[in-house]
Amino acid sequence: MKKKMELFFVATLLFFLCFNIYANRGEDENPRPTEFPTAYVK
Amino acid sequence: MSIGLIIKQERIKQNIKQINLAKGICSISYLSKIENNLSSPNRVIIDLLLKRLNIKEIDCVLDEENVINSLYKVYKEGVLYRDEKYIRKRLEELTERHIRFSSNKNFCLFTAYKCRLKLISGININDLLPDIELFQSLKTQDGHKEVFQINLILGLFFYLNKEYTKALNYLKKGLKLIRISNIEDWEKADFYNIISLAYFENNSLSQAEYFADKALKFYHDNLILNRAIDSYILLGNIEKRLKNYNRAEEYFSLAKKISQDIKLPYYEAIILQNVGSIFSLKGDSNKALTHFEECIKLKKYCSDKSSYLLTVLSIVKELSKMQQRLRLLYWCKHGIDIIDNDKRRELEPYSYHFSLYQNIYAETSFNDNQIKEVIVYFEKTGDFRHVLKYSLLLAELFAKQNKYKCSVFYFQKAKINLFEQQLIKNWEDL
Repeated sequence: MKKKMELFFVATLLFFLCFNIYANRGEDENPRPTEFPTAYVK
Repeated sequence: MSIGLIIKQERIKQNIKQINLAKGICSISYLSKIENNLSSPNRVIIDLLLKRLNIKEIDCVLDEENVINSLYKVYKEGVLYRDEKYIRKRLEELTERHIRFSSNKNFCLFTAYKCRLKLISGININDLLPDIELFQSLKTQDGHKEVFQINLILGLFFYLNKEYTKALNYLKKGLKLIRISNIEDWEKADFYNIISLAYFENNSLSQAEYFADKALKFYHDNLILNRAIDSYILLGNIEKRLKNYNRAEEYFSLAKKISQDIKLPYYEAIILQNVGSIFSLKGDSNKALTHFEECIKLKKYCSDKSSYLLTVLSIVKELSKMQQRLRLLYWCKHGIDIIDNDKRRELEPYSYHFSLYQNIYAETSFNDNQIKEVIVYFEKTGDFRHVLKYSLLLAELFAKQNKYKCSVFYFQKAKINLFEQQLIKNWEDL
């Protein structure tokens, strides 16, 4: 029971912290400032 | 004279220690003085040092301002238009020459321009390490322009190496000089784009937006469309992270229109990746997958495998949400096969991602040791987003098995990770 309470406490705290930084981030991709736009050759 | 810097640059490039280079020629402290331009060197000693370094010829340029100016023109073309053939040709003419400049300022400018052009020409970034080491070790610098340029190259190098905090620190130093140095508007726009990327990766979105806007304004006003796309995509990603999905889509559609006009599939692929990611965030996995699969078709022709693997990973994540086990395992294997054929270090994180998904979707119960290894790997490489993500995953998997002690351990690990990033030392500070 004690362990479960502890788990609940840490998990809740983490949720609030996480929310601001990483929530729903997705995989972003930006063009590199060094890339040749012609790097794709068909 | 820049002869000291040429010796230092070549010594670092050849990985020779000062003690070995100076042996039998001069003392280490004298060599150090020569390298740092603190002493006017004796001609005989210089000749002996150059001989040991196997440098046969050093061009003394009479009109060095001319040399710098003509390289500056190539640099401008390279940064703004990235004309591959033109840059490669000019680089070949310049790379093998050791040019002796009358000042460190010109030497540094020359080397910094060359570094950037080499990066654009597709060099492996680790090949720049000797120059990066040289730039980091420079203590005495006069003038401003070359200090700005050095900080730009250092910032760019660490950005490409995914060391984003370090990159931002150098770029902030460059930013301080941008107002007082003799820097042209197109250089400022290029710098704003790079610092915006660094802010973005450090999750400082308001600063990222401020600088991306400044860069876009210049490219837009001067009709430099290739670079305007860079800014549109970056602004789209910033809005996406701010959860303003409609504005993000507007930016991506502007970028798409330009990329279709100038027929560059490179950008179309990046836009598809980002629009797919918006659908993923909105919870529409089917549309997300359609975009990612379309994107993969274009990226097949790309030499940049990490970009390809980013989309494979996005597909795997979507299939995981949809619980499509077999398709997920197919894509994981596909990703791993690509990495097996290309041992570059930058692809390494993806092999950890894919094997983690293979592990949790295996027919047998998950292997907790493998997930622990993945967490340790991302801790080592400083990718805290994935330390947090996979620690939470492991904590939940343990909780489902009623292993609460293990579960708490990984929840706490994630918490410590977040505290460190937010520079929070005590819970009272929350």
